[in-house]
Amino acid sequence: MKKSLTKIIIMTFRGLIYGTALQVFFLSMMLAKGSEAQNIQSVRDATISIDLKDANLKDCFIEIEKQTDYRFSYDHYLIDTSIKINYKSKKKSVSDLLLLISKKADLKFRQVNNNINVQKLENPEQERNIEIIIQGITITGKVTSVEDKSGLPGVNVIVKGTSQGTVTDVEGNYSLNVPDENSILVFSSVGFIKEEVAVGNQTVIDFTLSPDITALEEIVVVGYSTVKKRDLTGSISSISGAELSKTGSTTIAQAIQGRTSGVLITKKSGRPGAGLSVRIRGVGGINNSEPLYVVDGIYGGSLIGINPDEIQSVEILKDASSAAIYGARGANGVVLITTKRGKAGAMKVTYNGSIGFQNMINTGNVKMLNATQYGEVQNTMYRNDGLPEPFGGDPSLPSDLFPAPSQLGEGTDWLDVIFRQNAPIQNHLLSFSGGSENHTAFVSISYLGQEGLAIESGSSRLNFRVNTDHKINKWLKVGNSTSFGSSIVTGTDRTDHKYGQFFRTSIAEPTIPIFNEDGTLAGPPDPFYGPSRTPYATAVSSDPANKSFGLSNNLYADIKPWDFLTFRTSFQNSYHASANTGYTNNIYEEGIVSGADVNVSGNNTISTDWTWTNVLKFNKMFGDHSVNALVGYERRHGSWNGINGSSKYLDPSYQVVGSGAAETSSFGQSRGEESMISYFASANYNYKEKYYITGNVRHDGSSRFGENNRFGTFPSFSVAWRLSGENFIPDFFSDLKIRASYGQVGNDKIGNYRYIAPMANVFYSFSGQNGAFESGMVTRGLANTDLKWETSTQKDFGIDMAFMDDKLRFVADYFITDISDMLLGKTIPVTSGIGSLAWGRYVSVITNVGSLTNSGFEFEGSYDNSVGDFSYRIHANLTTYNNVVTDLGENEYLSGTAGEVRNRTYVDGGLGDFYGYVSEGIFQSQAELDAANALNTEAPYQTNETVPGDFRFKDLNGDGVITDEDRQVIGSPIPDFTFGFGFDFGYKGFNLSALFYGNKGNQIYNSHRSEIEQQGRSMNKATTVLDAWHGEGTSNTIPIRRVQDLNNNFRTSSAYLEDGSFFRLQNIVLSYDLPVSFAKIQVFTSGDNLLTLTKYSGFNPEISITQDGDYSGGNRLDSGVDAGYYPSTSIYRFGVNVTF
Amino acid sequence: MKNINKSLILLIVALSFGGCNDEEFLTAEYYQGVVDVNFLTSPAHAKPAVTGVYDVMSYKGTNWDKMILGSSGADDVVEQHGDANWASLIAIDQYRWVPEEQGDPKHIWKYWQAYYAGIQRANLVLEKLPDLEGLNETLKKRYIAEVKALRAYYYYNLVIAYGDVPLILNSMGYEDAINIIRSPEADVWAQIITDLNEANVDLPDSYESPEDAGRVTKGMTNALLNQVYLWQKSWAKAEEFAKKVIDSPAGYELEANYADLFNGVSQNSKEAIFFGMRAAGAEVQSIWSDYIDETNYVVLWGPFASWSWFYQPDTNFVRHNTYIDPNDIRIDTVTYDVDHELYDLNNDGDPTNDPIWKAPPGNIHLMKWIPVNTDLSTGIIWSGGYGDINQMMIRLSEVYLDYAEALVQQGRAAEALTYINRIRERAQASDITTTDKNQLLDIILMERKVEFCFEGKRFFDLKRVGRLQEFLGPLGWKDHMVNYPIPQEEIDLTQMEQNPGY
Repeated sequence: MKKSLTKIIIMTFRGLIYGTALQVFFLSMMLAKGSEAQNIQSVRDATISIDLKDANLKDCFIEIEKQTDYRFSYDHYLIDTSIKINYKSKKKSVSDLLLLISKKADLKFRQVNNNINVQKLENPEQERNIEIIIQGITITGKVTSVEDKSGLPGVNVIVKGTSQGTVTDVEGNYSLNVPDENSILVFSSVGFIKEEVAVGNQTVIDFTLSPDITALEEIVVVGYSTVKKRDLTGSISSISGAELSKTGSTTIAQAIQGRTSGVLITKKSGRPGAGLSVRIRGVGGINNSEPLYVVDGIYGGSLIGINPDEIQSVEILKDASSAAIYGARGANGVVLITTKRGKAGAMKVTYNGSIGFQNMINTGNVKMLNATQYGEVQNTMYRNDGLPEPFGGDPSLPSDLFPAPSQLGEGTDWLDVIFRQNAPIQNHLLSFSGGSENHTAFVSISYLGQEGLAIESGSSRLNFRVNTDHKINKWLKVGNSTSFGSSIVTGTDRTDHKYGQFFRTSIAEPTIPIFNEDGTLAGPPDPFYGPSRTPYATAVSSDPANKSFGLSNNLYADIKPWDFLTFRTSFQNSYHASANTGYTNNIYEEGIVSGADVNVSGNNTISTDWTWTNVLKFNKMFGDHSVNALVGYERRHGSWNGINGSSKYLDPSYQVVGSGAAETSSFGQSRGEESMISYFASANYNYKEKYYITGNVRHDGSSRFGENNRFGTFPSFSVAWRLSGENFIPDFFSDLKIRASYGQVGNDKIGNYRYIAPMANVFYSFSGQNGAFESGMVTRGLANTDLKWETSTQKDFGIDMAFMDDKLRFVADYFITDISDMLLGKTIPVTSGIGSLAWGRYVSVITNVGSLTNSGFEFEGSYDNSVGDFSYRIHANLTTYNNVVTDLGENEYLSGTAGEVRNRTYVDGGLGDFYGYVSEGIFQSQAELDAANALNTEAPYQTNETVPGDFRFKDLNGDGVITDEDRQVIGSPIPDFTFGFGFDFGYKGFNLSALFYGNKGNQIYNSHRSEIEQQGRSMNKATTVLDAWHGEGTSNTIPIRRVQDLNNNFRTSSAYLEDGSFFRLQNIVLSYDLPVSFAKIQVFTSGDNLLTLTKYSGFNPEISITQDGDYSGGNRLDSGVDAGYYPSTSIYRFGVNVTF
Repeated sequence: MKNINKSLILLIVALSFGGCNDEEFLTAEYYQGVVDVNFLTSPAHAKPAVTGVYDVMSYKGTNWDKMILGSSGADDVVEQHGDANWASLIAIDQYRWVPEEQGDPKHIWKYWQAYYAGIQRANLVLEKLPDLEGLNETLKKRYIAEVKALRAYYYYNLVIAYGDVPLILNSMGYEDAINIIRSPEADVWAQIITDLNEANVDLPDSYESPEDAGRVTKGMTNALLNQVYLWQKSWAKAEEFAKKVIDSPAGYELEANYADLFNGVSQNSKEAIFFGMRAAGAEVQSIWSDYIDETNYVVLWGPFASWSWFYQPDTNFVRHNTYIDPNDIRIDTVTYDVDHELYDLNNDGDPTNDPIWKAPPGNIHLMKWIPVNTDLSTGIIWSGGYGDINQMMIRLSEVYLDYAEALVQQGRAAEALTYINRIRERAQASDITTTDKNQLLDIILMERKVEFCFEGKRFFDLKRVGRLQEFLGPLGWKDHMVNYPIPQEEIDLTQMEQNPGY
């Protein structure tokens, strides 16, 4: 496996912070048993079964030597051959026999380890006794890390087969007595591969340890505390920073994708700065289902903006028993991110850097027509409608603009013009770690720069982090985690929905040049969209940028009056500022310019947030009973204030909002606050690490809800039983544990102020004079003071198994999540007077109604081993999804909110099921069409305009006419299962790892294909339309070209629903550790997204369940629609990691 | 010493777990204006609260949709052409009121929505304003009177269109809303009369400031009471209130030039008793928008639709009706013969590229509410620069006809003639001389049709006098259509039941 620098750091820090404390604790208990418990047995303990009849002394000794490890040493003169021994014993101690001999032969015995000295008893009156001296060899040495040769503190050094051992000091030094040269020392430390060495004739044994990425999970961070992984009773996925770091990925979410079960991460867009969506356990509910992120104890934020190389570990709390400690905010799971901290010792400097190149994936899947083909297809269209062919066939059209297709040539390949190849991406991180025994610090600075695939787009990010810890005295420790980040995203297209940059580029007419002959930008490509610009003109004449800055800080103090009690008070605050500017210069040489030419917009928002957390932790063993408990109290307050404005100018010199020259300007401000108060408690108990019980409870009050329901209580319980601790379980299980948990968590992600109804401003003119208005105040909505959180009740049953000395591990879980009191808008009858008059629409009031169930299985397995210099690890995971809506209140169904609704959510159906007509292929002949039209005497089957070559939809209700009633649920955007698997191979300095990821069983509505295969419209089309129906039997999938789509062929139907299953090589990394001694240097090359196997015909099958339909503003109910999103990218990287 | 340290630590721990006032901490302040719970708690809210009740007079529901239900649903407008974009309008015209009236723009629904929005706003004010402290008592009384008058006007429009409608007099929550049922028509009429009588006491005859021209007056309440009593066939009462308007100290008088009522020349005419006020706002919404923006820029959709070959005058009536005196200027004033193609919406010099809006020569378009001096040859009418002409919802000429009808019904035909002929004189038509009761009632009905053509009154006039079958039957009207259907969506969302026959 790859041994990167960061891995070392992570391992080391992990060992330091968690390992030392716990290991010292457990070791001291072991050592307390004393040194007599060696594998060298006392003669009093060693037993023999013997039957001696008139045996002489020598025979006695030989017989004992036969049955034990003892060797007798004696002078032959001592052996009085006249003495005969008669002795019969079964399983009696050796000392019994020796004492008998002592009496009969006046000998005395002295045991030194396995040697038994025989001597003359000087005084026969002396009490017969056996002196037992069991002593060993003193071994000293130093344990160092294999990667940077620094001393490793806190390493366990144990004599194999015994509980005798010690722990290395801060420099990694140890000293230990071993019984003899046959002893074997076992070195182990959290995060490192456990290794053994034979003592032999050595007295100084220096040893190096290698990090073990598979054994990381020994300590995991849970809410407000840590726990040994083997003691977990809930379901938590833990991923080490080392594992993330070695992928070479620049975002955490991408590095996690496919790596663990139960966590579904989708990235639909390769646009710089585009987010990923993270879903934990199923698909969540109707409302925002992103998990809660907690970074170093600081709430909020997302995974964007943290460099994976800064991460020590990521823990994903999946079930309610884990997440309940986060109460009203834990319903969608919790992602805890812990960044690295300083380590005592000499300063260590680490540099991780990579440069990479991004390319659009699956470009071969969709090809657009060139100009000649475009002209031909347009002509076909008009010809089919009996109209003159526009290109070369219609004398009324100017022949210079409408030449024969063959004269159009290739034309402009707009996708090629706008989307570049090998767009660079670079990532650098420089970190410093070090400190004295009492003061440690970790400092890092990182930069990520990425150019977008589209011209004139890109993003960059700068992060700075300082984490320090200070031990003030025996009972007080203080420290901080501070980070600053800034990012800039530029580019025309900050949206990924339909009519975004990618979609518009793909449909731009190839007949339009980029520039006119005089060098000016060419005119609008598409009268369909009205006055417009070419994709190129759009990209170069606008200059939008999003800038954001964030500062977050966590100060803590740990007070430890007694060993078993810790009080931590911590204060977190964060500031986030964003500034967006937009500038669009409407330059175009042809077409109509209506209104102003230049649009300028800007908005600035500053949000501040503080949280004060106080936790009292109790941790004590009572014999075999272990008790961990905590109680805590937390207050959180957030506020934001933003202003925004936009102006339109005639003159492009004006590039700011609100100048006096503005044609129009508008301004706005947003301001608000929210607060939360929480009380929580947690208790874990185990007996002999066999029987576990855990309980959590959190009582939350939130300003987001109405006065009547501000407070909610969220309990959870879990139990576990380590079967492998029981005698009746065979030894081939090195671990076997079963778990069960139950808990409730809440979802408060509905935004603020939803329980009050703001009054709206209206205007009326009493004078009737133009411009003379008086403002009026009216109710726009209904308040719901009973509004409360969505509740998620979760049950989890799990089993943890390990075999072959933990080399083979397996974890399985079954979960059921019932989401109830879903926050859903209920339509208010306008008879009540509430409704949007301006839009002539209904409005809704947010209420708690409806429920759904997510359930599924999760499996994770791994196998680690090494053969000589070759080490390997293989791992795999799989998650199944079952999503059933169980209640929607009075709603028969729910549909999405934006644009063309393609999904409907019904009770007993899944969230966002596709809903539409069922395509039966294409009417191949007039006879077939006539037969269909004859089915109903009153109306045509589809329309009067339907012709052979049009789609035929299925008459579901059998009335012979296709109407709205002939629609049904035609598919689901939710996969049956998702899976990931990967391997790590290490040989000497080389390491190769790969991760594969995929999903199966979901459908995608390929709205993009439907658009680029449509009839009519002067937009460009996909080359697939060259094979459009043009006579019986020519096509059953692409309808006839016509000027107008009179059959409505492109209504939402199964014709554009495709299998969304895919299998992808997510990440592959090859690295090599340079054999140099002055530093640890590793070079690597990695690739993301290099291979995708799928039947899906679009650019990227990674649409899945969490996307928002054709338009922005869609919600969970408009899922799985590929609207022609900005393409996903493959990335090749080359990098180096250096530590010295 | 060590113990003291530990005690101190425990004290800190204990203190840390104590808290300040949780409820106070959890109350998030709302910065973006007044919210429901503190609405009308300050005297500063009073005026905007009342303005909000007037505001519904600037939406399509109370204007355009009123015109559709009253004129397309009757014989003012019988020619509807066009495509699916106007299917719901054509459905009204062709008496397919259910279920064809499903697609946007849902005229029956919007009419219902707008008036109930006004009622909700009025209810909230009437609930809270009386208890508001710090407001001048006289002003408070006047505000309450204005709101009651408006509530009555809104209920009046609902009850004449739908029959039994829910009588809602308080603000309601979601649970109340979904349990709404219809109330007997008589209860609604009774409430209208109560509101108008109460309002009448505190309303002025007129306002001193022209800034208040659009506010309701005693004239409005009296005129509406007169009409309410006509519906009740209480002729003496109707006469009484009509006379109060005629004799009002406000000094209502007929506008000398009939055309000036609609062409913007006399915006705040002395003939007006109740306005739907129109004023072009700062933000001009495109005429193509599907809605009227709340900034109060009002597009008068009648002329727009008419000039788009929808909502067109009945050619037979406006050109060939024998009742109309050849000298009568009224029809010629408000209609326009199209003799050429006018439109060039995309300014490309070729009107054939605007197929949707192309009406053939020979059609007759509406001229009401089109500003004086509009150049009809250029298409400037479509640019969005019109529609700011104040629309008179009740004007003196209507009260004259109401008064005349009340007199005729009471056998005082001679007296009635004076008022009928005042209107005819302005129209340059010859005087009516007959004193036959039935002839006069026919004449009054015809005068209403001519005088208020396309203004959304015809269906309700015919309904009131019970002559829907006679005039509309030949056009496809059926007996159950005496009331418009309750919007199906509202029936689905509440406990209301549909009118019979739908």
